[in-house]
Amino acid sequence: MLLPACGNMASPALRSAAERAALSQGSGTASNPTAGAALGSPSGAALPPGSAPTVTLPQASLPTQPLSVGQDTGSGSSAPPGPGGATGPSGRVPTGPAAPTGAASKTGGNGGATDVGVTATTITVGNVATISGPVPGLFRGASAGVQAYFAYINSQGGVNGRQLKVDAHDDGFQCAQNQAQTADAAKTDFAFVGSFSLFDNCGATALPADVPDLSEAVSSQRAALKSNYSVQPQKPGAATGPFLYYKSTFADSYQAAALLYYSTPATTGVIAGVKAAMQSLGYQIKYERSVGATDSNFTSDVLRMRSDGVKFVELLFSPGMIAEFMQAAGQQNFAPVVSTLGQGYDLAVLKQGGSAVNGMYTAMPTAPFFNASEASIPAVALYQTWMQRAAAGVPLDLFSVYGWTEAQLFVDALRASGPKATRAGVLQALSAVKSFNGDGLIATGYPATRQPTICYVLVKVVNGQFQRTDTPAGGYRCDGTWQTP
Amino acid sequence: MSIVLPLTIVGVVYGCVYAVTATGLVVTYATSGVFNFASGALGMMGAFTYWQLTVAWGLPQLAGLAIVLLVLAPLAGALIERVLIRRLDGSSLGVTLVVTVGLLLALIGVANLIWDPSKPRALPQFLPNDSVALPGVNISAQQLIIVGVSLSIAVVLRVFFTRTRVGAAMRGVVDDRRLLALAGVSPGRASQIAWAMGASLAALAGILLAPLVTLNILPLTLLVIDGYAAAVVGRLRSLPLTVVGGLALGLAESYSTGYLSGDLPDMLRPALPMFLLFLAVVFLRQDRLRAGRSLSGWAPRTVSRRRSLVAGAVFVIAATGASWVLPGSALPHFGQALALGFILLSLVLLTGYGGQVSLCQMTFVGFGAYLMGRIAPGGSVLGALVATACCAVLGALVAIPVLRLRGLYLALATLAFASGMDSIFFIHALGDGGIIKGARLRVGGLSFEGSHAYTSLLAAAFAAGAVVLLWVRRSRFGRRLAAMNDSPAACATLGVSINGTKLAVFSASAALAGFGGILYVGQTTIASANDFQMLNSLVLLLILTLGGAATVSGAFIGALVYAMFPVIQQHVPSLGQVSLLLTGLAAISVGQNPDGIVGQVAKRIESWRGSAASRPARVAGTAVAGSPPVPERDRVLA
Repeated sequence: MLLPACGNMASPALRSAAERAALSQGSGTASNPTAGAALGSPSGAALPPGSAPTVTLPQASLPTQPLSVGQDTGSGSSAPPGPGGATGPSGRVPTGPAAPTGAASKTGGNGGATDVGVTATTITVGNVATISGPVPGLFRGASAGVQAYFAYINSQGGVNGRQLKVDAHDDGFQCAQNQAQTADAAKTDFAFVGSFSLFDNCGATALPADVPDLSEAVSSQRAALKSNYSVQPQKPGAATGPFLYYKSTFADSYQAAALLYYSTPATTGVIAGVKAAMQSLGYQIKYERSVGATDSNFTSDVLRMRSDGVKFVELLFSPGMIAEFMQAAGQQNFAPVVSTLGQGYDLAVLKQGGSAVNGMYTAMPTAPFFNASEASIPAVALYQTWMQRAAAGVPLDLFSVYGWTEAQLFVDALRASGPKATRAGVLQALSAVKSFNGDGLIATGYPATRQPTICYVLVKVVNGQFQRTDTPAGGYRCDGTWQTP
Repeated sequence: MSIVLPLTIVGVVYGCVYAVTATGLVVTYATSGVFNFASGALGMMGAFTYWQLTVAWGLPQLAGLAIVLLVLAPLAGALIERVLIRRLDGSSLGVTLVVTVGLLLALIGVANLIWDPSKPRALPQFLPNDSVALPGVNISAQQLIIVGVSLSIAVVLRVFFTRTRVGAAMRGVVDDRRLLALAGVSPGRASQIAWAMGASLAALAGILLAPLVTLNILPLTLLVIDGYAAAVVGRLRSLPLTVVGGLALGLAESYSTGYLSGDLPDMLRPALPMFLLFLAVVFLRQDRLRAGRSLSGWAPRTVSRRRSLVAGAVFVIAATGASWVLPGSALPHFGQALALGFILLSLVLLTGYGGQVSLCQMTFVGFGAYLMGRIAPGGSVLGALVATACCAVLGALVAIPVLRLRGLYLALATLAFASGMDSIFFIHALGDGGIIKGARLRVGGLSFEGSHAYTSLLAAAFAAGAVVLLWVRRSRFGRRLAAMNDSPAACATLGVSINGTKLAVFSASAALAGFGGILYVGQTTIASANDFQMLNSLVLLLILTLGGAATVSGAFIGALVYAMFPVIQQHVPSLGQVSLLLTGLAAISVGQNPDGIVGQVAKRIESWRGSAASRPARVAGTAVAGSPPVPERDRVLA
């Protein structure tokens, strides 16, 4: 924000800025390419239509033995899976309750203040997220997820005798503030963990190359940093998996498709990628429109789609707009197959859309986490439990999942780098992390090779609830390829 | 099957939506002369309160409606009128705008404290399972209710305002309060009823629209902005014409969605409401707007060249010294205050001296910074001058179509321009990531990369700008500005070229703002499109008015208070939760203190000297030859 405090004042009144924020509110967003990560695949050719999906299962239970960073227990440890190939269990270093934590302190040899932000008893990491501003609490989940995971680790005795601390910053939805806070925190904090902001490109300009940055990059500038390790890295494009599913499940729907999206500089890559993914599979896009920040009239779109015989609709905008579109479609008795990326997995969609959103599909880059039934997955249960304990009042959302899993990746790397914690050591350990899935909490991403995931959980709204559909319990579908624009 | 008829029906329905959002705005303006920027916020509060009563607490819908529309909203409106609006009688346009923007921010702040924005809420539709099948399209009961309410309000209120004594009295408040009082009607009471009605209508709009959109604080608050075009078509007075304006907008959107596709229509469509607003403002006949008042009721003394030079030098030395004394964490904020102060100088010239309210200053700021990033990323002074000159040209281009406008219409035209630039230029021109990287100026081979050095440069730039402005105020051009500020009609009568003066001051102000943008982004080293969005210009006006609109020192004081707030917040983190509310309250206080901090201090000093009581206020309008000084109160109402 040009005006320092405007992020708290003027910005709220800025339509498109506010909408950009609203787009990102809740889980998965159009402006957050992370939403597109659900559809990512590193390489490979498209599967033929109707190919049976390959399902990957995460570890069925919390691991009991520590592994070294980079060791991959699955088939795709050092390279992303090929087309339709199974990724197998995660190759990440597990961090289960039984993992040793305070070993160094017991042996008394962690080296004390070995680097910036490190003492004999603590390690402090930075986190810069948008918390105040147009939508108060927008990405508070990002730091809350980190704090929850650190609380869990600290309860186990910390790492090598050190307790983990978060130096949380709020960029107030301001570019310059994000940059300044990143620069300041880099001077005192050991690393960045779980940062999340639509202005992370601003912070990227101030991030020294030697500071580990374990943040889910929103911008291409942030993702391009060598020190950045996203648990689900992004790159322009999208995966074809969900579109393969729709094509094989709903015959002919692909011959008349529509695409509605909200475009920002940060989302053009995702939108172009989705379009390319659809077209690569033969989808005929009959209608597409970039909606405005305050658009609320989707009835005209529905009329046009119906006139054009549209049978499949892909929506790439905020949860509120998704609900509005679904209501408009329901009112006109227009019932195409409707698909969203992660942004559709939001309680606001259910609240506002009511029965109109029944039947809507969402391709999730993470395991579903709202329902108590999902607690059958140990990683989800652990996340739910510690979010409740350490961040009570912060709603579960995609951002806290990323905060949690980035923290998990950090702890893994920290352990692997040895008791004398150094930035260089952590960076080296991170460079060996070929794949990571947070024990199944997220679809397998490839931090070191910077390849996005192609895997996803297909969720459908049934009777006003999100339900896994055509995806085995605890598993992911990995049936697509990555399609670049 | 043709979709013309269905699209037309949909356009009519959404046109009525726009009309409903504009209704409260028109009623309060028509009956009090105050353009209520907080109308949307009142609607949002109404919708959330209704949600609280009916959904959270389970009251029946009718009871909730009655409580909100017949009790709470009217009470709130009456209270706002009594506490805020009545005291604005005779105030300038700038002050009334700032106060209502303050109210807007305060209401959003309160809503954020009461209703956690991160929790999803939904307001159910009235008769959710009922709809009517029209040719090619189904219309829900909720939409039909909106159409009915919109048309009914237009008819009923027209009858009320034209055929009843109370209605006529309410309109009379705008024309002449004293005359109204002589007729035995209490202007205060009439105005209070008008605001109670306006608040109730705003709440009704919020309750009706919330089920169709999202029950989110910001989107609901900002929805009304798109209705400005409808209100202006109704010349801010006529509700039937407001409905016509809403229908035009709704139909334009519906047809464009149905028939136009491609990158260009997609890019332009979001700007459609503001484009129509601009057209309406520029081409429709202006109604009886009260205009021609200066922003400030208090006029500062003019300062001699020598004193201004000495003061400028002292300022540079003091600011440079302060940069070495301040803690490192506060220094960037101090630098921002200096750069922001320079930007505010552009408004001192335009608004403080010239009396022209512009709501697009941040657009020029962003344009200057953007051009600098393109032309001279290395910080060349020549590049900065070219960028500044381009801003001057853009300022002139904006001014040309709005030369005949004044007062609120001029403000709305600039608002529409700024919004259009947001939607079309800033979103798309900044490219990947949407950021501008700033460069610090290099002057004659001298580098100002260091924080202290750049702070000194900023101080020198501010001081130079202030000295130039003070010189302008003493100059012939400055007297013409003062005359234009005081009475455009008198100016024209005396042969002073209003259009030429307006064009020049707009252009010069845009140049100053653009150069200020270069300085500011040089300080922060980075900026995003978000920084230059339309309502940031309102915040600029707010800051300047807080400091003192007609003075260069007011520009610095306002900027300093504003820029240093985050430093205080670092020590008191809880302030972050109420910063919006505090800012709103500060803006509201402008209604009590239209001369800003500097004006208050100056008046205190004058009072201590014992001269204030005996000396009539210096009046900017004395530049109009021969007009004798008049008491401040009378001048304000002149």
